[in-house]
Amino acid sequence: MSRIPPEQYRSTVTRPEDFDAFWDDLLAQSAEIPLNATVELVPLRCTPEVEVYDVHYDSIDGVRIAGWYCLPHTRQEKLPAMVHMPGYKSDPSIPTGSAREGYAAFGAAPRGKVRSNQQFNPGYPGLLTHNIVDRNTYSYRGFYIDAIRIIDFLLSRDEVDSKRIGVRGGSQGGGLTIVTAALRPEIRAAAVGAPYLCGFMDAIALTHTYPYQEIRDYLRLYPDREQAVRETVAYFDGVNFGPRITCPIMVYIGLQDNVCPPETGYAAYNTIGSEDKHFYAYDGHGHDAGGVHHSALIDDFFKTHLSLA
Amino acid sequence: MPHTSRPTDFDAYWEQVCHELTTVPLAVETEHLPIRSTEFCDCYTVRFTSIGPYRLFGYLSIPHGDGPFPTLLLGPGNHSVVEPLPQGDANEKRGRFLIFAVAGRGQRNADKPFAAPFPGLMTEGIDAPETYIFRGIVADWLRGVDYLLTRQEVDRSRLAAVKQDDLSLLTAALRPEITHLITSPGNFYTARAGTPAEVADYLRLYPERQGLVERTLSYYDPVFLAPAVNAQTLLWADAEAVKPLTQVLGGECEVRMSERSSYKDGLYQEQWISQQFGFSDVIVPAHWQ
Repeated sequence: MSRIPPEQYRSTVTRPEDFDAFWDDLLAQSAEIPLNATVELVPLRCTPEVEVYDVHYDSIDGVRIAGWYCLPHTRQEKLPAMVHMPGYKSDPSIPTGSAREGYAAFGAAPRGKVRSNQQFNPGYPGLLTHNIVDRNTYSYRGFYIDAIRIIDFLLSRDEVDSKRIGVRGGSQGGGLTIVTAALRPEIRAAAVGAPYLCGFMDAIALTHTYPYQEIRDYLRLYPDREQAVRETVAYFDGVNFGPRITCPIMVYIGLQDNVCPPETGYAAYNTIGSEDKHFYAYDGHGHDAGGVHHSALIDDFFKTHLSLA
Repeated sequence: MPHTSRPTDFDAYWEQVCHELTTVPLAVETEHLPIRSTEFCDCYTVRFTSIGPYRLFGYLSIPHGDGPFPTLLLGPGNHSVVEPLPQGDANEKRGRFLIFAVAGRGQRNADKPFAAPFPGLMTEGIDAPETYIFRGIVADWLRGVDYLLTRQEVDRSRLAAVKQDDLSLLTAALRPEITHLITSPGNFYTARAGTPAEVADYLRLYPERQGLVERTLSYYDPVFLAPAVNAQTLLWADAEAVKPLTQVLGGECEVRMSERSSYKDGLYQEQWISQQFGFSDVIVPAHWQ
């Protein structure tokens, strides 16, 4: 099968005229909602080096969201913070590794994820197409807000240095990292692996694999809804969030990515507004995005930008 | 950890699980699922019963055309999500293979009344082999085989258990109808020489229970069941690290070390199963072609 080299691919994503207004309005709505955060020590998951806390907070639509919060047992007065965004189907992990390195680390679990699915649970497959014809009720509207409200939680913590907050993730976690970096100016550095939720409609033409296949499945059943779907996902597309990003950021992909087509990784990177942006494309790698080669670069990147001692 | 001895009642333990399965009707409910069906396959949801009794869930994908079809059983694991087809696999595979993806107890769509914690599943009921959650989860794998064997569309000469952890191997040992196996050492094999992370958490809080935990995990050691495997096997592992396993594993086994690339490993695995099932070509995603 002959394909255009991914770096030459031109995305079909268009940015709605009211894209910024849509998100600014949602951010304003979110800001009006008290976090009502609870933080409870989880002795079962604590180690001699790391304290693990079970966190819950309120988000839009009255949905209660969970997360894991980890702190180094021995710590300075103020810590840099690291948000770990989860993949699409994976269960949110407890980020003890980052806490061991000296970060106040948060493992996100937006609505629908295990522990955040009592009130909203469209399932897998299902999340990607839930209310996909309506941007005001589409699943990722709340999902994105749940993710970015983690920054509010971190800003509420005495132990967190508000000027040293980073965010990272792969696949859906990469998409959420782009969104969070775009919508929250408090983010000082971001690392994006194999970003999902970038070039939705490009992806369904480029690959026939889940999870993007969910949209193909939906449109096969409801072909008359394609325009409505296209209009909705444009408001949630990482490609359209790119221009709002100003912090240092790295994007890394695998050139044989069978889940999030590499073309869409290039498309997302190209729109990022930051002057301090870096791109890494690993040949011979798929959705792992060359992590075996790249993980040390991520660690160094954050050490540099978050001044981790 | 570690444990090294085979429990004296090891065989009786697993015979009891298999016996219990014979006493529980499958009680199958199958419903067509148009949104996951395509021009080359039909997809169904399947609800059926395992020991407990506990109601399970599965996605069944059957190619269009005349069967029987080579079959892939994708069983439960230590994660919440079960999809009709693994993330990243070419959807067109569903036009060649009958695929049955089973949600075991605690996983999504089979999470009532038991919603498994993640993390936490690994230590649920771990103080005794009789109460350990994986006694049921292994039974759920076996139940998946039982269901497939009721389907005339399944080619019994080409029935593979596919999962990169210990559970697929345990299944192949307990269900000789499994002809092909793709597996890798998981938490239960790891427990021979070390302590899986969730178990380490548990023992940090309850150190006095170490003996009980070791005893329970010894019933799940894949080395003790491996001689019963007769399937053609692809074992993803460092050959040196799995010598205790390969020395006793029944059937022909190829041990392959991961190249730490989901592309290279995934492509090899697709080539392996296609070749084993007698196909001259392989169905892979666009970016692997």
